[in-house]
Amino acid sequence: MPYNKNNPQATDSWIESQRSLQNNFQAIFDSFTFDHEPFGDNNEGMHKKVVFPGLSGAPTESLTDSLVLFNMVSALTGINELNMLRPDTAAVQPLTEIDQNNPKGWMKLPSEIIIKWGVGLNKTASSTITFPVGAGIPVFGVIYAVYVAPKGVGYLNKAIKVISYSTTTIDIYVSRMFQQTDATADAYYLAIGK
Amino acid sequence: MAIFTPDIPQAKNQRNADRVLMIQNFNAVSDFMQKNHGNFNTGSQGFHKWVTLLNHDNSIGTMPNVSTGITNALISGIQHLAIWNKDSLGVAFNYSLTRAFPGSTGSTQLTNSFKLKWGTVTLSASEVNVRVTFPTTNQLEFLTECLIVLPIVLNSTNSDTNTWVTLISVDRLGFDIWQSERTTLSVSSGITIIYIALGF
Repeated sequence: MPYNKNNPQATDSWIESQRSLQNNFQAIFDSFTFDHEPFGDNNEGMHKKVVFPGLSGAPTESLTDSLVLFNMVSALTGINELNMLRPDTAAVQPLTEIDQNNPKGWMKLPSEIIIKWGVGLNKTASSTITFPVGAGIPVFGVIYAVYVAPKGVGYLNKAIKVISYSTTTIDIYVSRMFQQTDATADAYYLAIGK
Repeated sequence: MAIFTPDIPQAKNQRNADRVLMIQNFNAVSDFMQKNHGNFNTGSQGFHKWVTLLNHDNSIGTMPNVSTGITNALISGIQHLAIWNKDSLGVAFNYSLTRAFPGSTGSTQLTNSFKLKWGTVTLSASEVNVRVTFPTTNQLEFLTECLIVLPIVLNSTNSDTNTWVTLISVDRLGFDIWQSERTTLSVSSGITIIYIALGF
């Protein structure tokens, strides 16, 4: 029998009252012990795990400074991700978004920092690495730091320095360190922004 | 919102009085359980719909050993999603998942307690072996160790291919770097580098 919050009734017999009370206590027991340490345990009431069902939209929470964790499909990755409503702005902040494509990919940290990585092929002397764009790829609103390194075998004595960088590109210079001449190399890059 | 009365039934109570209080309690339990959860008598009974973490003071409270907790913690005046861990010896530590100091010199927390720091600094031209100290004001700090630093020369002059840097050593407070030119162990002008550092 289901949980009935309006039991017992005045017209119930003692047996009926016992039955309805037992039903409710059983339902309470089942719900309170679901994913929780059970009654009577030293840690009773604590979660064993928290399961988030997929929501079609972000929940609303009007309590000041509250932080809401929920599961919703990401517009970037197209899969269900753990999200939070920020306590300061109530904006949706994804926590687990990542594109692990090799060799190019990106991840968004819970702090809203975005890290991108990849490789620019056959860069000679003064060259430009352009960050991939398109659906499912976040765009830097601001970029803070980059690192670039030559890739592959046969590039002994080759070095890359950064000329400049923007939210969409890294301008680099590929050279031989000692001969002081131009060179060609594939370029691994790491970029940090937001 | 129904009031929950834990101390019923009582021997002195009339049966009907207890019955009314029992209904009140079952209504309170129903309201309580359904907050952020699936309703009673549904397939999602007991499941969370979402989890609301209220403003918390970042104290650990009661927590068994070898457990992990999450809170909405007040850290430096801002609410953050924070992790609490307690090891087998009962030693607790915490860190925020969402804390960062973005900027040209910046730092961010990673979800596994590691931190990422970055910056741009112009080295002194007077020496080839230069110490770079991580900024600490309004920045996350490496409390135990810096594992790696990636430095690269930032030079807006395309034709100047003659300077580079080499990492000598790293520690949690900064790193030592070697700056040099092709023909000499000194540098004619200070090199500007970008660095990215990983530690905890």
